[in-house]
Amino acid sequence: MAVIVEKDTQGRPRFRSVAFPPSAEDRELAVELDRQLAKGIPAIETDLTAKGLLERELPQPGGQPRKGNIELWWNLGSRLAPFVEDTRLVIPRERVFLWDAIRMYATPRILRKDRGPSRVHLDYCYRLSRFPWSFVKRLQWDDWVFFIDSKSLRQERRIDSWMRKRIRDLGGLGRQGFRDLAKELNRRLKDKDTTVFSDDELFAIYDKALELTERRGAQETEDPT
Amino acid sequence: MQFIEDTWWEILYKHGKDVKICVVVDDGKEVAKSPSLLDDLVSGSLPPARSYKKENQTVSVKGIPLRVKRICMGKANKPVPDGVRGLYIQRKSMKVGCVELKDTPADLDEFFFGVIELDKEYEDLIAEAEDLVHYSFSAQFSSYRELKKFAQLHYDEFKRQLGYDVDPEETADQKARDALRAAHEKLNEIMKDLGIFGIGAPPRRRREIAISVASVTFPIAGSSRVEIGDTISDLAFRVANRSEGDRELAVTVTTNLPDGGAIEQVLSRNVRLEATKEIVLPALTLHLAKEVYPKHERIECVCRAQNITGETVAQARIPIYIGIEPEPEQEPVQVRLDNIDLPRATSTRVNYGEAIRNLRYTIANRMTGALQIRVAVVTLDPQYENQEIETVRRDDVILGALGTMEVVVPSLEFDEATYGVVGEGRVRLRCRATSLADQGGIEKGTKWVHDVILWLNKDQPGFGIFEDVDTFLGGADQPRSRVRPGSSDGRWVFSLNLTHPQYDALQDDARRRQQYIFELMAREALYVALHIEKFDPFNNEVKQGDEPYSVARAYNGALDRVLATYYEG
Repeated sequence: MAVIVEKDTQGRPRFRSVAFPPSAEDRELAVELDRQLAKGIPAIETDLTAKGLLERELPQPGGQPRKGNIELWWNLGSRLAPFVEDTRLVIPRERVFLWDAIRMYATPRILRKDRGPSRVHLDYCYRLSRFPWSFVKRLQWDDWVFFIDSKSLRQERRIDSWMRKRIRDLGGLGRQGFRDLAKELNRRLKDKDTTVFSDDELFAIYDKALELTERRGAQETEDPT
Repeated sequence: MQFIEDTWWEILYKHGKDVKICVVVDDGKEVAKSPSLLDDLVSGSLPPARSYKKENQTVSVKGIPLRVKRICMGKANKPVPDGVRGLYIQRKSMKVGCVELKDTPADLDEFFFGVIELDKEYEDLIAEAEDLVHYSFSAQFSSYRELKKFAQLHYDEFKRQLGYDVDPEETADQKARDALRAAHEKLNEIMKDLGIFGIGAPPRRRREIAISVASVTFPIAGSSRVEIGDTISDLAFRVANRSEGDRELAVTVTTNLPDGGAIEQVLSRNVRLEATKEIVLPALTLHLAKEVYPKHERIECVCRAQNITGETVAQARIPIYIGIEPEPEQEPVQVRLDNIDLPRATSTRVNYGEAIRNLRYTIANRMTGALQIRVAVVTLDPQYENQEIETVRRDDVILGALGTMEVVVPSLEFDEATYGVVGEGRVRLRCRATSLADQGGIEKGTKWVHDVILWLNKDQPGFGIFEDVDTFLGGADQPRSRVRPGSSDGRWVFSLNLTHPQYDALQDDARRRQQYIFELMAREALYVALHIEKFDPFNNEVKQGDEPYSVARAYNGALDRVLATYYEG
């Protein structure tokens, strides 16, 4: 597979791919993806504008777009998901290139500054959108960013599967509890090589951290000192 | 009343049964009580996850070791009162002023509290740094500056314990690291423009002789604690010749005191080792006789090999704790690069179609129990937060007590199909050992790594004068900067003294800070060039056997040229 990540002034594409150079077939698929994005990304923005989640006007050159909110970013992620998950066109290891491809067709209204090559705003929106809205809306965008920003949680994607299993428990944590859970997980897993853990082992560690966070929360409710 | 309680809490806490502080007011008498938060903190009643305590720590002030009796920090569940918030210094059992701490997360600020207690000598010194009303301290005094640095290091550690992502890039020495990186890039660029080449070399063959522990039996299995009168048996070392030539070696086994002084020599023999061969020395028995060995001490059993010129070429150590509990090993597993043959002798550049050959690592278990570990050699893409590019090899092994293993990769090819994802730029070659179980106090998933940065299809930007840049806390008595040997012959690491008063004085001026670092780096780079007799930077005005005066003049000339280019640009 391959992804077109840039075009020069004459419209000539630059391809990026994990296996290099991309085959003729891969290039064809990349062109197909590029066509879909060229049409799809503006359509997403139009749709989000119609829903009242995005301002109609583009920010002035050098100006700042309106501050987003959790509803906007969850909806954006949900709309991007069909592109991200289309494994015919994008293999998971090439998702890092897809964000560049999307940026070619996006306006500043849906883009925000990334805080590093793997702290990618669009990726965060996509990750967030894989959870039900009823769960996501309990927290604010800053809380989610705080959570995903931790290196040990950002790189280990199995946390998402675990969270989907524990939605009911996590929903009861509240904003501070959710942040405390992120800290506890980070404390336990920072500098660990999590690839040696089976799913069950890793989930047991997550469960312990959740249990401890819940217990501390309960203690604090009883004893505020 | 609250001010009295906050200020004299230590007296109330320690002598509450014998001492009472009463304030007589119009409508009666109030008795002061020690703030319960501080009581809980110092007595250790706060939950361990939310508290931090270290005792008997040493802080060096102008080379004099002074004692911090205790540093305690805690996080409350609700905002703490103003009078308790922050990290306070205690003097004469009274709360004096707060230490200024950096990088406090917004959601910790209102909940953080703590105290530092000093010994009498340090209290006297810190008193000089207090202002007239004893509420704050002047950073002009090194007694306070050093205490502040000490406190910041422990504060960062406490934040890590609380789960904050305390990235070294974002903590107290962030400014220094940023400035170091920027200055190093500039130095590389200028040296290259001036046509100065030749300092440093990529990693290459380093270790021809290797010594490891072949066997050892302690009186208590899995523990290196012994008592006077005990015997350690089956003590055998393996000596390996990894080179392609025969080697004559003088091998000794001694027991040594912590300061390196020998207690007794247990073995001494000359060994002739053929190329690529190894031998196991005869098993020894070590009897810890009362009249020979100290009673309560950590000693070491050291096997050392010297070549015919008397140079030590390899050694291995076994720690032995006589009558005391073994200290936890700081680095229970070591990953060492023993050999790497790069395509170019003077560069870490690798092009498509080229290969690294004879890559060899040693993994050493420094624990007295066996360890189950996974050893992997991988290549990573640093541009994408070390996303894995290729797993070169992976083995799950059991590494015996104090044992070692070799990891060999005969050839690592850089083909375009695999490395096209990087195209041009850095590739991190990593050997990683990961604990596969909770064992000997080590948690499953704990890892130890050795990294080599390679440059794919690209020369290393600039000249790469230094292999790495880092910092140290040397205070006023140590030099402003220094260099030390890096990971291989001809590689050097630049270190900046973060606590030198001159650097301290520049803390708030980013531009001057960077200029200061650049000048130090340029000086050190030229010293290194002289040291390795690389005279190109001096327009070849220097040659072997020159008088010191003419060398100094050529050195100054080269330094002037580098600095002129820097300040012009």
